[in-house]
Amino acid sequence: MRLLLAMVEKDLLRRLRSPLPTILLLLFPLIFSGLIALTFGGGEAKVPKVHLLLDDRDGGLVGRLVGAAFSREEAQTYFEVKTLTAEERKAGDAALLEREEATAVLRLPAGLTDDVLAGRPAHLELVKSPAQSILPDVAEQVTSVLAEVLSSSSRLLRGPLDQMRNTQAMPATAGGGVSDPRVAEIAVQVNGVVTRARPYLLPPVVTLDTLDTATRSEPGSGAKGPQGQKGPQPKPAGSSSTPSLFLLFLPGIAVYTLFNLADQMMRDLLIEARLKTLRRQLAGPLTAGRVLAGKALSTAAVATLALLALTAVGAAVAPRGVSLAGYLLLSFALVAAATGYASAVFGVARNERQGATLANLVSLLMAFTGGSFIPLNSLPAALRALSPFSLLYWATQATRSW
Amino acid sequence: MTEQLGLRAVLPNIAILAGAGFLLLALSAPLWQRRLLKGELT
Repeated sequence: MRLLLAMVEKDLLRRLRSPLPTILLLLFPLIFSGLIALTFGGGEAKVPKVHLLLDDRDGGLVGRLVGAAFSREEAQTYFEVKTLTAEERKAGDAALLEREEATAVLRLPAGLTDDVLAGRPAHLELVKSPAQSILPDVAEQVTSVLAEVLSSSSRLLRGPLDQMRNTQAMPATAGGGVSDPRVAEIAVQVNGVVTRARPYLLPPVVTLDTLDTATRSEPGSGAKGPQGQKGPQPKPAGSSSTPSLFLLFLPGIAVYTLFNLADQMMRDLLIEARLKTLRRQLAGPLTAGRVLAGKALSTAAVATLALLALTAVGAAVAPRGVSLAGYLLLSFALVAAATGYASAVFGVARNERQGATLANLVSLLMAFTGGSFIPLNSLPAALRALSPFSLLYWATQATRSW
Repeated sequence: MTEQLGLRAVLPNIAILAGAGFLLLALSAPLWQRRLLKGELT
C-alpha cells in the first residue's frame, strides 16, 4: 500500500511541477459555461421585430387604416413597417425581401377599399421570406387576424357602408364635399351598430395573462398588478438569466472535463512507455499489476481534486445545502466512472496517438448523446435513444439535479 | 438529509456510474497487464 501511495505522490508531484495543462483543462468548463451564459442570458430578453413591407396598391381608406394600425405604439413594439414606393415595387418580392432583410411583403390589392365597402370577396397577399424561420409565421398569423377583422367589419357595418357607397355615387354638394346631415346620418348608423354589438363583444369573457416563472405569483395570493389589478407583475429591474444558464451548462461540461482529465492521467502510462521511464519502474520491485493500480489511483486522486475545485465554483455561484454523504457517494461514482473509462480507452489503444484520437471521439460522442453540451430535449429522438448508453448522460443528470 | 440532496433520485445514477467504472477497470486491467508483461510498453 505504501508503494502505491508513493506512486500516487510521484504522479501528483509531476502534475504540480507542470500544472498548466491541468489548470487550463479545469478552466475550460468555467470559460465555456460562462461564455454561453453571457451570450444567451445577458440582460433583458429582446423581442425580435417583424419587418413588414407594405405594398399598398389600393391607396384608399382600407390601405390607410391598415398602415395606421401598424403605426400604433403597441404595434411598433413588435412590427417595423415600411410602405413601398412605386419605384421599389419594380424590384420584385424576392429581391426586396433580400435587400431589406424583411420578414414578409403584405400586398393590399387595387380596389380593396371598394371591395370591402361593397362586401365583395377580396384577397390580401402575404409573401413570406424563406430566410427567416419564426417571424414569417407571426406575420401570417397577424395578417389572418387583419383579414378576419376587415371581413367582420364589412359584414357588421353593412348598412352604414352601403350608405357611404351611395353617398360617394351621389353628385357632390355645392361646396364639393358630402353634406353635414348625410355625414351625421352615417355616423349615427355606425354608432347604432357599435352600441348593439357592444354587449356581445365587450368585455371579453376570457382574457390571457402571460406570466414568467421569475415573476409568477402563487395562485390565490391575490397579487396586484401595477394598476392595482390582478395580473402579471413587472420583471424586477436587473434580473437576468445569466447565473441560471451558467449553472445549467456547468455540470455537463464539468463532468466532460473530468473524463478528459482522467484520460490525460491514464495517457501518462503510454507517455512513460515512450520515454522509457516505465521500463525503469518495472526494473524495481514492482509488478505490472501494481504499476497499473498505482496509475488508476493517481487518476482517481487527480479527478477527485478536480471535482472538488469544480464543486467549489458551483457552490460559490449557487450556495445550497447538500448532504455530505450524498456528495461523497456521487463523487466516488464519478471518479470511478472516469477512471474506468480512461483505463478502457487507453487499454484498447495501440499507442498514445491512437489513444488520444479514440478518447476524443468517445468522450465527444458521450457528451453529445448524454446532453452534456446541449440540453437533452433539443436532441433528435434517435440520439436521445442512445443517451442511456453514455456514461456522461448519467453523470450529467446526477450533477445537474443538485 | 436524503431529501435535501435529492439523493434518492440520483441513487440509480450513482450505482450505474460506479458499476460501469469498476466494470471497465476490471475489463481493461487484463489488457494492460498483458501488454506490460509482454513488454509491449517497455
